[in-house]
This record gives sequence, C-alpha cells and structure tokens, in this order.
Amino acid sequence: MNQKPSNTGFVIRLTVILCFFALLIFPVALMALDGPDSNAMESEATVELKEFSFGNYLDGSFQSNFEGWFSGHYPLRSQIVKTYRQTRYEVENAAPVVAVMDLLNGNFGKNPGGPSTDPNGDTPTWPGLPNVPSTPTTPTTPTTPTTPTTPTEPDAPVDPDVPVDPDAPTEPDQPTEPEVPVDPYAIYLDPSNIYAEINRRQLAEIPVEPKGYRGSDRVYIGKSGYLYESAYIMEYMGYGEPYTSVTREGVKTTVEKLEYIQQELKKRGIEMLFVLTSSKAAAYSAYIPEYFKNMYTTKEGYIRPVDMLREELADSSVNYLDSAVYWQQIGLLNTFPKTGIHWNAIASFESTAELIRMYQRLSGEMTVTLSSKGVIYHDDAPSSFNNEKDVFKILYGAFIPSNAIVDEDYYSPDIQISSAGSKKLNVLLQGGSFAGSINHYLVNYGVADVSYIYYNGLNSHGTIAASSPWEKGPEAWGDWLKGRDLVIFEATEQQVRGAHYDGSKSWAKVAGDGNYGHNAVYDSMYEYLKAHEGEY
Amino acid sequence: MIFSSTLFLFIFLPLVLVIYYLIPKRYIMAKNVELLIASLIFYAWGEPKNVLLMIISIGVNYVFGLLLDKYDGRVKLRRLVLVLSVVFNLGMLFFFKYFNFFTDVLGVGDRFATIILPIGISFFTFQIMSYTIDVYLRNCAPQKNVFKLALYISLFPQLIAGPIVRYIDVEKELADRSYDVDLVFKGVTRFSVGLAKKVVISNTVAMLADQIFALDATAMSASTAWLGAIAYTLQIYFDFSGYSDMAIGLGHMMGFHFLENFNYPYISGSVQEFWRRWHMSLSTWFKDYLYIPLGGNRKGKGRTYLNLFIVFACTGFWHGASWNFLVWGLYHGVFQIFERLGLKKVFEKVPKPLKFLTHIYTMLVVIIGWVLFRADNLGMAIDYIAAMFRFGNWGWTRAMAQLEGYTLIIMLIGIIFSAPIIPKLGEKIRKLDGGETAISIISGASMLVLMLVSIFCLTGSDYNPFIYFRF
Repeated sequence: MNQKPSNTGFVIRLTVILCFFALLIFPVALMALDGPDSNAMESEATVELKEFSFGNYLDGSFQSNFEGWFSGHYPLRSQIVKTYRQTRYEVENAAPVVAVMDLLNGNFGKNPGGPSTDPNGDTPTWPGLPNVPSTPTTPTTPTTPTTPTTPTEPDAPVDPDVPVDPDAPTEPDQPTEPEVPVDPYAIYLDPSNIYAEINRRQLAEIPVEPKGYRGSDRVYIGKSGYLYESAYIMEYMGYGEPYTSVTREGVKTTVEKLEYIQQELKKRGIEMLFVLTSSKAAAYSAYIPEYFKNMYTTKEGYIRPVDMLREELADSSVNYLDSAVYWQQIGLLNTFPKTGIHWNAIASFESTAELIRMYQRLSGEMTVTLSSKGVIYHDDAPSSFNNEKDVFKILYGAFIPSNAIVDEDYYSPDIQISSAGSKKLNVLLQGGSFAGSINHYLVNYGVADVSYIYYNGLNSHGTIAASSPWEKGPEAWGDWLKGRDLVIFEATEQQVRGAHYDGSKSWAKVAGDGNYGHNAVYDSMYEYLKAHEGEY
Repeated sequence: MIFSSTLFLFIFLPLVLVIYYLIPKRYIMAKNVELLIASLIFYAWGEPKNVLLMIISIGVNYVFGLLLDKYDGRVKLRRLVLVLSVVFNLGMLFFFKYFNFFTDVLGVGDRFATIILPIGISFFTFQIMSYTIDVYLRNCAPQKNVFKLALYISLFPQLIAGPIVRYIDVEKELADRSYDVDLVFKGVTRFSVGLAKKVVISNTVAMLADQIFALDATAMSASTAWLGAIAYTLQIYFDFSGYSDMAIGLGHMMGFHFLENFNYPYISGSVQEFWRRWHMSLSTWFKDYLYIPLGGNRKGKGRTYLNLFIVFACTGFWHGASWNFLVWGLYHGVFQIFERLGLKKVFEKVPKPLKFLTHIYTMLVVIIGWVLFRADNLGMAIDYIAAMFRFGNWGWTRAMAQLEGYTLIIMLIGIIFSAPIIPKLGEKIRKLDGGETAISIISGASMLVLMLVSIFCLTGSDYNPFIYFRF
C-alpha cells in the first residue's frame, strides 16, 4: 500500500485497518490452531459436517450444511452467545427500560397481580387454579395397589317388549335438601391426599404478569415465571393456522384406525393403550401472560383439536388414559414445573402407574405395580429423564441470571414397588418426549422391557429405534410386535394437529393430511395389520 | 452467501482481501482475475446452477458489445444489435422473474413448472444493459477484454444487492486503480457501519415487523398496524442501505469508487425528493434509460405524467413479480404527478417553521407505501392500510404487547440515525484544530465497536436452540 509521510492520523488509520483484519481472521486462525468450538450450546442441534460431493453442491445441501456447521462451531462462539444473551437480558431488565415499558403499557403504579382474564372471552380464571377439562368426579387417593378384578358378567339385557304405562301415577317429588356448594378445591387440599401440600403451594402461586425480559427463541416467560413454549399456547388458544385447520373427520379417522389396531393386537394377545398427555398451556392456562394473549386473536369457533379427540375417544372402544382428567380424579393439581414444558415427576409417575393398572384390568394379569406413598422434595430438578428445566436452559442460553425465576422446590414420588409373583412385561412404546418418562418408570422399576420409538423413529435424539418401520416399510412391524404384551401410544394435546409448528425435520416425513399427529405411525401399523388380518 | 454471515465475514472476505493485497499493485490483471474468481465462487456458492446463466449472459453481452463496435457507422445494424441485446436481457429477466406471474394472471399457471429466480438477476441484468446501451450511445468504448467485462458484471460487492453500478463509472478503475491507507480505512469504516445497520438495527426491527405483519389484519388495532408499518419502514431502509454501505465499503477496500445509493431518504420533504435520495442507482438507471428516451419532460405535461407513470410502474415491477409491487410503484408515481401538478409549489410556500409538515406528509406517503410493498398480496395490503386508519380501534395495549424493551431502543436508534446526524457532526469536528485526527480516532473506535457489536448480534441470532423435549 502507498504510505503517506508518518503522521498520527496515518498511524491511527493503519491500526484500525489491522484491527479490522484481526477481527475477521482471528476466529479462523484460532480454529486452525485449536480446532472447532466443541462446546456446543446446550440444547442445540449440532450440525455434522457432510462430505462434499458434486451432487451435494448442486442441490445446495453442502453449502447450507457447511454454513450451519461453521456458524455453530467457530471459536468462542458459545461465549459470544452467552454474552449477547446476557446483554439482552440486562438491557430489557434495566430499571429505566422497564419503567418506560411500564409507562407505554399503562402499568405504571398498577398492581400487576389479581385474577387474569382472557382477552378473547369474559371468563376469569381463578388465580392459581389451572383449568380442568371436566367436572371433578369422586376423588380417589392413590393407595396400595389393588389386585386386578376378574371380568364380570355383562348386564342382563332389558326386555324391549315390556310396555311402560305412560299414565301410571308417579310418586310426587320429594322435597330436596338445598344444595350445599361444593368447594372445587377440597379434593386437592384434603388432608388424606398425599399431594395436598404441593397442591396448596400451587394454589398459593398467584399469577403475576412478567416485566422486563420476556424471553425469546420460542420460549416465553409467563406469569410468576412459568415458562412456555409458544407453540403450546398457540394450540391452546387457537392462534395460527396449524391448530385451526384440524378437522373432525381427520380426528375420527385416526381414532377408527386406533380402534382397529387395538382390536387386531388383542387378537394377537397384545393389549393396546393410548395415553393423552396434557400440555402446560392447558393445565396452567392461568399463567399464560397477557402480553402474549394480546398479540394474537383466537379464530372464531375454534375447537381445540384435543377436545375433538377426547369426544371421539369417549365414543370409541379405544382404551385410553386422559392424563388431565386422571390427575383431577386423584386430586393432583401440581403437575408442571415453572422451568420445564414437560410434566413433573409426580404427574408422569401417576400416569404411568395408572397405565400399569389399566393393563392389569384389561389382561387380568398381575404385573409389577407401582404406587407413591408421598412426595420427596428437591432443591433442583431431580430427574434427567424428565428434564424439568429444559426450557429454562433454552431461555437463558446456558447463562443463568441471578434473578431468574426457578421453582422453589421440585418433587418426585416416594415410590413403592409391589412385584410378588408378577410378570415382567414386554412393551412397545411409541410417543414423543413425554413418553420418555413412561419409559423411565417402566424400565427402571422392573415393570417392563421396553422398545421406545421416539415419534416416527427418524429423529436422532433420545432413545431412538435404530431402524424404524418407516425406513424398512410396514412389514417391519412384524418384528416390532413379536412377543409384545402391550403397545402404548402416547400423544400430547399439541400433537393432535399433526406436523410440528415450524416443520422441524423430526416431522418432515409425517405423511397423511396433517390433520392428526402420528399419522405415519398409526397408518403404518394399520397397514401392516390390515395386510396380515387373520394371521393370529 | 450474504455479507452478514459468519462464513462471509470470517472465511471468504479475509481470504479474498489478503490475497488481493498480497498481489503487487502493478499486476492489475492478476488482481482482476483474483476478484473475478472470488466473485464467481461467491455467486456459485448460492447459485451452483445459475452461475452458468450469468456466465452465458456475460458472454452474449460481450459479443453484443463487440458487434456494436464492429458495426460502427452502420446505424441500422447497430440499432438492431441494441434491440437484440435489450430483448435478450429483458427476455432473460422476464422468463426467470415474471413468467410464472403472467401465466398465473392468464389462468394457465398450473400448466407450467415454477421457475426459480436466480439471486441478483435484476441487478446484474440492469448492469449488463447499462453497458450495452452506453456502448450504443457511445458513452464508452466496448470492453474488448472479456475478463474485465465479466469482472464488472459479477463483482461480488454489488452483485446480489446493488448498487447498480454503471459501466462508465468503473470503466477506468477496471483497467487501473489504486488504493491507499486512507481509502482502505474509509472502506473498512463504511463496511462496519453497513454491517451494523443490517445486523443490529434491521434484523431486530424485522422481527417486530414480521410478527405484526403475520397477524390478522382485519382484526388488528390501529396502533399495532402503525407500529408494524414503522418497523418495516426502518427495516427496509437499514437493510438496503446497510447492504449498499457494505458494497461501497468493500469497493473502497479494493480501490473501486461506487456511487452512493442512499442519501438519508427519510428526511425528504416531498416524494420527488425522496426518490432523489432512495435507491439512487435504480432511479438514475430508469431516468437515463427509460424516462429520457421516452421523452422525459420535454414533450408537454401530459406526456411527462405518462412517462412518470410508466417509469414508476416499471420501478415497482422491477422489485417483484406481484400486483402489490406494481401498485406500490404506481402509488409513488401518482404522488410524483400530484406534486408536479401543484403540490410542490404549495410546499415551497410553506414557511420555514412549518416545513416539518412537508416532512410528515412525505413520511406518511412513504410509510403507507411500504405496507403495499411488504404485504403478501394486494388484499392483505388493503386490509392492513384499513387497519391503520381504523382509529376507533386504537388498541394501544395490543400494540405495546408486541414491543420489547430492546426492540424499542433499537427503533429509537434507527429513527435518530435515519437523519444525517453523523455527517453533520463530522463536518463540525473537521473544522476544529486536529479535527482530522479526531475523526480518524472516532471513526476507528466506532468501527471496532460496531464490528464487535455486529459480530455479537450475528452470533447471538445464529443461536437456534432445538427444543429437545418440544412435546
């Protein structure tokens, strides 16, 4: 380069140029010396570098793979991400910024607590009490395991030809006692309920609208620090096309297929159970933040796909467990932590224990039985299989601000195992991440040997079937079903609408009309059983 | 490959520049070859198949240039060659960009496959056309060296997002150019400013704009609609001008002097002034190669207005094959005409203390125009604009629900820096003793800060956690 006679300005400009180049060259130089950044950010899908081929290059997959790999692996990246997120957090939580946002939101000086209201409706929800999907029935407290009952005689049919005299005098109505109002929370706080204390803590958690940092990357901070993944709220509230396009026909078809599958499996000596797992948005709707609800509008006439599914399942012969209803029946209110989008260990345990009891009732067989005799309290999330701080870690990007809201305590069941003379089951479990908990309790407490297909078996995370029936074709079900006692299908409420909200690759191959989740799974097994009908 | 990517910043750019600077200055041809190879790699990275299209286009137009030279003195043949070159270039643009649009309009769209639009085709086609037209008009000599012509067309700083560089503006620099510490420093600081505009400001407000434009416009509150429109107004300016700054900065680093593309358009006091400040390379291109050949303003008022209408229709359509782009262009054309019909004279009579009213008028026209530009389709644009004026449903709370503290800060920074505060401050500092040194220090420090902040924002936004237990 031309050099001017030495002067301060020249030196400064040259220094700036060199600094510029240093900034650009430093990461690659460091990579050449030290290798790529191996500290992949927690909960990030790591991109494996693919080999170059002309075909890869022409279709652009090599380029996007390389860019994805490089942007995730250049040196100091993880530190830069943490610093960036920390800065965002501090900026958004800075007092002047919070004050200005309060002013703009008209919240200045207002008490942010109190009952929440749904801006799309008029019904206030009681602070601290999550929505329940149906009227509470007679409460039962989980106790020692019961022996399975022997099948009973069917009821004697009523003679349709016996006439009823329409003019026969009827007894005059007896005066009725005035109705005593039923305390809807009594079941949860009953002293005999082993979960009364954690329920009480839940009821005491008054929803408070969050200020400052709201979250990002699809994880939002709700009231009182409850974290949500936006897709769950979108489904619950009926925001967005994927959730409003599910049809009754699609759901009906899927339930019919499940009925057929159950019937055919039964003929092969295999029981089938379907378990519906609740979403946090549904179970904890009181904590959905107002700012999120204000951003969207519920489509008129929206019916939650899961409610359609519930209605179809109720009219079908499918053996199913609706977790949300079951928790209500047993008086369990505290089912999700603040920091995770999955059910907590208590909720997952109780659902699994009930699945085992359902199998026992259906099959008449005695298996290892699980029950809880109380709650164990933990300072931190107790279980890796449940990952009760999954979205907490996502949200804060592996740096934890000192004032991040966490659960005061985490809970796990004090498990009792009853296994005298019991059979160990052979189970095929198919489902999403909630099924991971079911898998854990079945396997680690000696209930069953489990083959766990995570979604459609194509995703590389978790306990994945090495080669799913989708790769080998429906005939592969022959091997997968051999020797099974029980097939469990697990689906969350949010999965009812089909392919994942952002079209992630784990759902990229889900076939069908997209109106119901797990189309590929049920369709494939249905296809196999249909082709082999009668081969029992 | 885009400028605001880690691959470009940390691998491509330093590699290209280091090799460029290592080649001795006297070997301009070697430098040109290096830049040409780098530019073709740059384009081929994102368009592995369509790079051949660009090479073919370069080759064909090179031949056109030679033919125009060969038929010098033969008017009809030269005109024929020009017509052929315009037909070829516009034909290529039409096929890739507008074919599917017109087949859909004619109702036969389902009979044809979707044609993928090559990146940057609108820019390099107009560049190529400026070459052949200027050779025809004898504004420049035809380029006999195909590599130099190829370099002019494919030069990576301005290939995919402009500015549209006219051949006559870089003809001499293709053959001989120099750079020194001052010019490279200028380029480095300009590039850093552009990167920060794109990554820090534009990308941040883009998230808000995308969020609001995804809402149901028929149910949107007026304040939400305005918030989204203002966010998009900032997004498009900082995105586009940021890219132009990066392109100009890169050009400086290599000894090229590209013309300015933006001159603080949001301080304009009229729509005419806006178009003298916004995407100047495009408006100049249309003025020189369409408006003036149509007669400009030399054939009476009626013809002038018609010419303006045609030019702005083409301007809108150039941006995209969609009715809303066409309407956007015509919308600006209509205001151009209104101002010529007398509105401009009214503005000139506005007393100085009230001049801000002309600015408000201009910004209202521009912001509403951006809604037409941004909307997915014309129907959505109409619904959105209707929402903006549904003052009975002001819905302030709903608007504020969309806004985060960080985004608000960035929007305020964007609004402030839409005005020429920095250049004016720079002028004042330069007049002081030691002003130049102070400028160097301030520019240099700002460059470092902007680069660091940009790298942080780029990296942070690249962080895309896969929510493992999504269900």
